[in-house]
Amino acid sequence: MSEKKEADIVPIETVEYRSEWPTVDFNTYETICNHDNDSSRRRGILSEDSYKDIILDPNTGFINIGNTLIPALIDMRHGLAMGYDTDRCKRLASELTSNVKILSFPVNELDDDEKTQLVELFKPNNECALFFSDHNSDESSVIGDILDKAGIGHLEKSLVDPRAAKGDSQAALFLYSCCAEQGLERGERSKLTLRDVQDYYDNKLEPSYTPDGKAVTTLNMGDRISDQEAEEMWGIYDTMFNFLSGEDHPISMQDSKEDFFKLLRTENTMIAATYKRLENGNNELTCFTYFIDNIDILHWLL
Amino acid sequence: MAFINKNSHNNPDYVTDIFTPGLVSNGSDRSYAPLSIGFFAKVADEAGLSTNVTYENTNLSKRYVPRIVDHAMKAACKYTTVKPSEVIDEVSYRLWSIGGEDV
Repeated sequence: MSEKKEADIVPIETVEYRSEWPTVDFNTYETICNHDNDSSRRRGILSEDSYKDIILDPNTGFINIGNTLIPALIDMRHGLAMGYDTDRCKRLASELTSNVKILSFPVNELDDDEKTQLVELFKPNNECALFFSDHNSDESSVIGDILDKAGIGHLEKSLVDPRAAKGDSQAALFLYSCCAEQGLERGERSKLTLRDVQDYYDNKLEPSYTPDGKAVTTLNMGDRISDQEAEEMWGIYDTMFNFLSGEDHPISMQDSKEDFFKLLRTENTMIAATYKRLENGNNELTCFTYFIDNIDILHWLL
Repeated sequence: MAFINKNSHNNPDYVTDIFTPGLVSNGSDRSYAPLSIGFFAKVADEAGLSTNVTYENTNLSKRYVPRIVDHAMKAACKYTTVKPSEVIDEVSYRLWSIGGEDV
């Protein structure tokens, strides 16, 4: 039998497991997951490609909502699809069990019957390490309640980073806002894009040197940087974001190279890059920051 | 409507929402890190940009990144009033042991 024909055979476990009810498509899943989401981050599985893999995985636990199946409990090996750092999470849970799961649906939006279905998903193995996100403690309180009612024991393992400030050691992500508003003394204020700012820089300003001349900072739009510049930025990014996330933070703050370039090299991205001037006359990239004025391309944010 | 847009809906219509995914340094020259954000702020200030800059922090990076951002913005802007960074949302992450012998 050829490899292709073998691949066409659907494993019998999959047929039995998924019963007569259809699984929701990714767009419906994403809509239901975020219907009442008042946080800044999207909930659930973020990638349609990963979603396809997850619903075919016989280890994925589904619940029936309105006669359609929704993936609610998934293996950690799919963690990246929800922003988790898979290896780090397995390490963090290693002293508990090797059966590491993620909640892939907001439990606080389930009705009583659906919560009962979720509890049943924990029973086959009767032991797992469970990662989930918590906004205003809405998930932890509900999950605790339903496990208590079912008589299933649970214990939180702290995810803390001792390097964080006192009171901030619990693994979390914070969205910050900083507003800078022009005064009236320069006349009428109009809405500008980053491209407008770049045009102003191109026409009226020059790169900025430090007083000692040892470093220079430039501005450029993401769609104008060279492949070499983009690779240099990736080189620094790839190293530093591991440090920033911390060893005990389950979420990966680091994009793949492909996703990094999707945000970096756009017409809506402005990059401020600082280079150290070397004795041989070359410049070495030491740091950069980038700004995006098209909020819609930030796929992990609502 | 995006969370960031909703959050800034009270801002005047000339304010541009901007997200910055990161302040990235090679680690060996960290004193240069504020230069890039400061230069952006200086040019944006001179160009006439009013903006609401949004960015994410972990519980670790929040220890220093907001201070760098606020200091660099305030030092660079001549025409712009800068409000200090504030937290507008927080998501925490949990790990529970369920059904094991130790629980």
